[in-house]
Amino acid sequence: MTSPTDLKYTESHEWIRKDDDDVLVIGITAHAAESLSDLVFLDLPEAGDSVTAGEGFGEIESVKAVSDLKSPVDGEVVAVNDALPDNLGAINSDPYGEGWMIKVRATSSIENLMDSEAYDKSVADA
Amino acid sequence: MHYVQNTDTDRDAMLATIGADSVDELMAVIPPDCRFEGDLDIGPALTEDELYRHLKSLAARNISADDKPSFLGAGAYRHFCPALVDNLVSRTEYWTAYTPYQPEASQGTLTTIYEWQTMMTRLTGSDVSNASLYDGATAVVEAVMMALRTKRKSDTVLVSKGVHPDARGCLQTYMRSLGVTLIEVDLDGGRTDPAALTAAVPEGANVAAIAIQSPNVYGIVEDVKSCCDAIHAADALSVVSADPVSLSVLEAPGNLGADMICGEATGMGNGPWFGGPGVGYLCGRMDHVRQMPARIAGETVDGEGRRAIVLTFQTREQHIRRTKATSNICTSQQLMALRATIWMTLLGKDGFAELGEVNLSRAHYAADAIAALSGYELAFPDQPFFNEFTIRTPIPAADVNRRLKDDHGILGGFDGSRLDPADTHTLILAVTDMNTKSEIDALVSALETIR
Repeated sequence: MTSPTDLKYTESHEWIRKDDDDVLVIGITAHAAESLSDLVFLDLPEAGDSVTAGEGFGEIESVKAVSDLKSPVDGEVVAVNDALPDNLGAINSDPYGEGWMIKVRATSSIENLMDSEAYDKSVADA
Repeated sequence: MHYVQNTDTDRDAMLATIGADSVDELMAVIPPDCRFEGDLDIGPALTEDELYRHLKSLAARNISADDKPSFLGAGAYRHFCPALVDNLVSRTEYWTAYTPYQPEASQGTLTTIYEWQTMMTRLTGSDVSNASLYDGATAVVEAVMMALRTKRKSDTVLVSKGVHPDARGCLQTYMRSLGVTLIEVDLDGGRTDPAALTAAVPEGANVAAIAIQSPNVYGIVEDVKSCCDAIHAADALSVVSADPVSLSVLEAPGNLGADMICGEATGMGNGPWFGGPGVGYLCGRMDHVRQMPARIAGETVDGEGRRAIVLTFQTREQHIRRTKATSNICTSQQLMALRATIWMTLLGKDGFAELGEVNLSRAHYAADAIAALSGYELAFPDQPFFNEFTIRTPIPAADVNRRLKDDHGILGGFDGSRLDPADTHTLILAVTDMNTKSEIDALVSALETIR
């Protein structure tokens, strides 16, 4: 599986895209969505909530387990994909587009996150 | 279970393995002022025959509600339980306290859980029930925790003093550890005042839940609807603890605005036993189902399209992932819930309603007769009640109970001073279908002589 080259990635399978206003868009990778299989529930924060790098910003639940969604950066949530909890299929069908979860105005850097090559390698090696 | 004593040789081998010279050295980490010095005052060792006689003499001091009339309730009520319940739960298919994890091997038990949930949701007027919880007190806590998870930014919980003291005690333990402010709201004339609930909310507090109980600890049927309206006005979720047997004649709390309905179901096919095991229940709305603790059985079809029952909801249990668990309790009271399920099934819809009416009429017969006695009166004469009511006694309630037991062979009620130390002359009496008219008449005659 080849991940989009214009994104950054975490070891916990979140992707990060920098949009025009330097706001970060965050979702989970196609690999993560596939591993979780049938998704049944998504719990996202509210706009205005603060997030901390390495700590959970929400939860995703499949028929198998509940998993944390981890924030790659410190910052403040500025937008939430409110349509997503009622349209969980989008996470599987379009993880990098319609499946976006939150937008964060970051106060920490994303430079040390993985690029697509490193992420794909880490997934292949796992 | 076998008792195998450690020999000196065993002890030496274990100490050698640990690397300690003596048991005393092993205990040296315990500060001296915390350690007991000297010999325990437990008397000389008894032979097997002596021990058996000693234990029998102790057991003979028990007074069972099966042998003497009992008017003690306070959260644990006796109701008739057909012998068929014992017979059916003794079937080996049910010999486990645990929920089965393998649906392919466990359709019988899973089906009974599904039936329990169906009956509890209908009884409480709710969307969803879990498979049961430890007891009524933890059920109240779990309902409140559910509200805290649902209202994420909340920091405060209110509870009416009409809620059973065991449940309030459990709440204090949990809320203290969570750093949540717990406020107890005083009763007004034995009853929860809806306006007082709203008034007790501190300025700027974000309230997750306000918990009430109906019938409350004094037996009074609360105005559940007005309380729930007040709770919702405070932007909180309403937790209503209810004796499910009372719902045979009272309106389902879910139809009156309760968000979470919970309580002790031990009255159904179980008994006060020795104070436990209990069986807690928890019902709620579909909106909050993801935050409901413990497990839920659901109906589906198997690979060949046949109806099957499975655990549809266990991803938030401890055995799946501890950090994501909704509760530190990872079990249900399956055997007790099974008894309750069989009991409800045997009574049937009409039989259950009839049982409730018998409770209601006998309790009111008793209350009327006692209120007519000189020196006695109902503590809350204008308040509605189901099968438990509170009286004022001419002498301290503790003395009334003692004289009932010693002079008349009757087990009295719950001493009100255990709820409020100032209430020395208050007695809470439960009258259920297990109290015959002649037992009630005997109680009234006895009270007439106690003053």
